[in-house]
Amino acid sequence: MALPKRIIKETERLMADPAPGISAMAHEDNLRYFDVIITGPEQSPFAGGVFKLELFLPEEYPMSPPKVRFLTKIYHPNIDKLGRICLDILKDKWSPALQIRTVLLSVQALLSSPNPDDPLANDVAQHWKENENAAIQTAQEWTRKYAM
Amino acid sequence: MSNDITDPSDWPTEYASLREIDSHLRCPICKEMLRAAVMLQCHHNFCSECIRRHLDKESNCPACRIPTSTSQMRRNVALDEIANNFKDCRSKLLRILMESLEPKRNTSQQHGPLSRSNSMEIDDVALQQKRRRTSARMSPTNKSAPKISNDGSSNCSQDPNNMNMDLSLADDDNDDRDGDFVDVSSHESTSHHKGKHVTRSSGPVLRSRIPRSSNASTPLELSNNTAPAPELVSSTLPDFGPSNSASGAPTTSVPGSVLSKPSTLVACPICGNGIPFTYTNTHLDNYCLLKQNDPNYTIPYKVIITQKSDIIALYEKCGASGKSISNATANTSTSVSISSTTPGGSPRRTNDSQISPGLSFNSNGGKKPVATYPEPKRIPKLTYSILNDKQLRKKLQELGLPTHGDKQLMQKRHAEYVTIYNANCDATRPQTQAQLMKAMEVWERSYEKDMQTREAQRRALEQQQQIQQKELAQQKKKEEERAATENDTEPGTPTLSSSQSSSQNGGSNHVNNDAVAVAVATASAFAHALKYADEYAELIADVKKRMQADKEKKTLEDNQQAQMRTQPNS
Repeated sequence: MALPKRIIKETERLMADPAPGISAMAHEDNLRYFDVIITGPEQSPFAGGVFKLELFLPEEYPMSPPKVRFLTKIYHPNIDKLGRICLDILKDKWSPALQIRTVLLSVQALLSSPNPDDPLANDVAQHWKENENAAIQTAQEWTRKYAM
Repeated sequence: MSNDITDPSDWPTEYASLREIDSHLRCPICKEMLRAAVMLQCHHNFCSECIRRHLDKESNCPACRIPTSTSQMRRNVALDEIANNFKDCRSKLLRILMESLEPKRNTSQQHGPLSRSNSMEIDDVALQQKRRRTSARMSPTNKSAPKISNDGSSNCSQDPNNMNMDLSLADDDNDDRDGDFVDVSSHESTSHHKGKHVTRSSGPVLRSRIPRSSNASTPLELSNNTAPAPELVSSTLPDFGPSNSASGAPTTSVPGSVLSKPSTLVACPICGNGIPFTYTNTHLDNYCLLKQNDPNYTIPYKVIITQKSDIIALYEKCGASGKSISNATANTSTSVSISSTTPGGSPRRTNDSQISPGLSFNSNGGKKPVATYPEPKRIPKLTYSILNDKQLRKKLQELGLPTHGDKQLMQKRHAEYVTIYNANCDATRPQTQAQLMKAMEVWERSYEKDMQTREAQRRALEQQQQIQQKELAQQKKKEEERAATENDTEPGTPTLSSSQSSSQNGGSNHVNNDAVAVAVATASAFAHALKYADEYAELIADVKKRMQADKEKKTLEDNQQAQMRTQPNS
């Protein structure tokens, strides 16, 4: 299957004009597979961390959402220990008008504002709800340990 | 930046508005220029094909998620035309823009952004720009149509060789598009409407880039400075660039002398005959508006411009005799009937003596003055689940599509065709049936290929799974063997009393060693193939260690056996 123009265009744009704190590089042997690096947003427990993610564009893209997963361990109520992300636009709220850039910006925004009420990692969410300060401290520790 | 892959960011940052236009003319789904633009009830625009594919799966607007369906879609004809025309001229426009920016970027910034239009240097660029705009037919729906006509006439007055081509272009435009958009703007204008026109129609997009000589004044100034009669020419002069230093000179208000410059002829908005534009008001006031025939100009404009080869002679003859010579060719419908049949602004046009002659080309659009966009019949979607193979095959047959393959393939084929066919119905420049069929062939091939690769992937996956299973089995076996060898060695090592049993096990040890060797080989081979390289590396190391241990044990045993052999001898 030939690579759709839209993917080529998005790849070019990501390289030429990357969003701040986000870098996405397509694999040479599989242009649908991207190595992504997101830096932890300032004012968040993940500040200073460099988080690796993988992003894959399925055959149906843009009619179906890209698959995104954290490769770096992260202590976050919406990200489980396998790196899977609980983000509505990656699931039922996907729209073909969205693109790689917007998805990654959403992921970055998710780091700034964890949502323990819609958890994926239950224990983390519980921790976050019961003692937010302690949870944030753990998140900072994990960031130092795994993402620096 | 390749020609194939276009993006709003291609435009230089100096022209942010062009970027905006470019991005607004793109489909949010495919990020290409809109093809067959359709609008949903939330006023978001998409390619018909893209949104149809989306609405096959979802029932909301991709931009705002408001619930919607295909039945809510409306064709956005004007936008589609704009997108089509922008697509046509985009690369040229970009190239010229870049070229014109090069020297500007090199020289020191003497001119502020406001005087950019005056700071252009190259006359050639001016000409190119002009040609391009005319030939590219910049969206007539967007008030640029009058511009095209103006350009046409002004071009002609400059360059008689080019005149016919340009005139015919202008006429073509009016033939297949409606000129009514144009008309509205001419109505709004005052006696200086021409000047306004140029200003307005060039707009923020083109105006800033139209190259001009440094001594040329702005369109408004020009049109204000010159007499109303030669207005048309003078107002279009700035567009044409520096070569028009003698502004207003090419025209006179005497109809007779104008005839030698046929370019200055325009179509009367009412009778459709070719008349000198400077004579328009006289013609309208004295003849057409009084429903009388003008004896001086009886040749329909359309006839004039279609007879390009004889055009000069025709004019001369006509001008000399002042009589009709083209009764035989007067097959065009009279403009009276046109204006009466034209909806919209046309009826007003007949009462308006302030009509700009340059715009009146449009009223002479021939037999189809208004481009109509009939709603073609679309193919209804099918509920595939209630159809059996035979019925589906019949449906495909009715559409002239291939009927081979299983139900899934037939279903996909039908759905694909319905999508592209219905999307094509929304296009203002629809493809032919043959092109659609070709697209289907391409789809068929890519689908087949897709299935093949999928099949191959599936097989590869299966193989991998098999290998993994084998691997697991082997590992199990190894573990058993390991346990066995451990059982063997434990009693075998320390004492001589167990020598018999150990010598018995010697044979089995050999077998075990072979099996382990095989296992090592296969394990290392798979370790390359599979991702669990680390695990396998460990495994291999482990197995090697054991082999080493086995060897040592064997030598030990051999020694022991040798000792034993020597013992009885002694």
